[in-house]
Amino acid sequence: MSLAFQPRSFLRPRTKEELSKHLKEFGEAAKIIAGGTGIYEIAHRGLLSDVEALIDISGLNLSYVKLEDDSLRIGAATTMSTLFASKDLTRSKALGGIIDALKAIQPLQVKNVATVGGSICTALPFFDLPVALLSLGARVRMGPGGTAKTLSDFIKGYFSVDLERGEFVEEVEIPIGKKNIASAFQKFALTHDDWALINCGVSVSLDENMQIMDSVIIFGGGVPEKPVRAKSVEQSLLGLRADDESKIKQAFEGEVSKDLEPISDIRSSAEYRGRLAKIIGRRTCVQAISRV
Amino acid sequence: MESTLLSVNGQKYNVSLEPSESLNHVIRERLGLIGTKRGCETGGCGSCTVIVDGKAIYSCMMYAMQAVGKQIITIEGLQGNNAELDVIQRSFMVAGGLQCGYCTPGFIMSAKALLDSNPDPQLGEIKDALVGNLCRCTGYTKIFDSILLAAKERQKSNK
Repeated sequence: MSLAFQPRSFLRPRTKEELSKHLKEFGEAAKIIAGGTGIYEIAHRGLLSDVEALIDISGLNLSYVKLEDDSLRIGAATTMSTLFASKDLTRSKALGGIIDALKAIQPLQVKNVATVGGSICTALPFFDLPVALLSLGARVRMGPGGTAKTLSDFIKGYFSVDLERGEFVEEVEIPIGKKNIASAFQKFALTHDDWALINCGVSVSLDENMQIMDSVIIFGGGVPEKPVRAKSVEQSLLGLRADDESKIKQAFEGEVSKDLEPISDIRSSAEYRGRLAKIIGRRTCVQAISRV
Repeated sequence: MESTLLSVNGQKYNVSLEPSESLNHVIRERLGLIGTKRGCETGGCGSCTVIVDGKAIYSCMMYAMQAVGKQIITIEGLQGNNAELDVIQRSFMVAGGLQCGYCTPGFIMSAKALLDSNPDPQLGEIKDALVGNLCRCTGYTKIFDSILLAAKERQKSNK
């Protein structure tokens, strides 16, 4: 236990209004705790010395998965294990990338407590679930007002998200209404339970003849600040035949370096990450296409 | 400090908790249940694994406050009324699933959570359930054997 981290109160609001009141009152001096795995790691490194209150949101009924005609809604306090066990994930091929990402998140002891809301609010660029969600154009609904914005706008950078004082994440919404759409997610890590060196989420839709790629969204993680959208790669993929693997390969080989600047760290050099990004990106894209 | 009740191994304990106190700290230092180990304290080694509401969790990464109102089971909770060992513990002995023993309570709790929800796991499912537990002695093979044996023994005794 870090001595620099000595919050005075542990609050358990019973309503969203009560939660918002606490957040307004404490501002930066309060941290929401859902699963607590992330906050524990950050506290352990002595980075939360200004925090006076922890606010536990487990009593707010924010653990749910709801499948609707054109979207899947996931409550912020839903654990990775609960989401993974949900049959709703298998009811739309658009959601394949979410299943992939949940499989990649290890170990079980973390998956059993870590939450969907925690994963996006920690906003680390090498997390898996946010990248899969971003490639599906997920939106974040904030409480208590119920306004929504894209996850892409919501994540600002390391530990930083776009929330006003008093606001909190209530749910994540994944659009699944589009026809002929599927997704995939892949990760490259040094061990089975390590962070990603590079990860990639792709959603792709094909035209009505199931031949031509008519929309593609690609996000990559393991890069600086926040997951990046590979717009140049997307542009060169649009209009290609879905079975033209050599052109798909060319798109990744030629364009990835325009879209992302990999980092060097203890796990890998930037150069190696750059090479991985081309390979993992292409494989993820081909896998997504194969699922449409 | 907040005075509250924690339910551990079916018994209620009245404890005063600091907001930032880990469940691991409370179990070991306040309740004296030192079968649950403390290893890396950053959610990597698994020696602190306990079961909360039926699921394996890292007790080093959960604040004790989060476990209030939940059913916590530690390795001590596995023994029978006459202090006899649980079938999973016996299987680890019989199949040689331990050497130094420091990681063993964590492995056994992960194994119990798995077998309680999946009584007849395949080897791959056992490996998946144990990704979060490290053993530096055994090379894991005999731990897998122990859990396969425990699954068989539990099914026999349920018949």
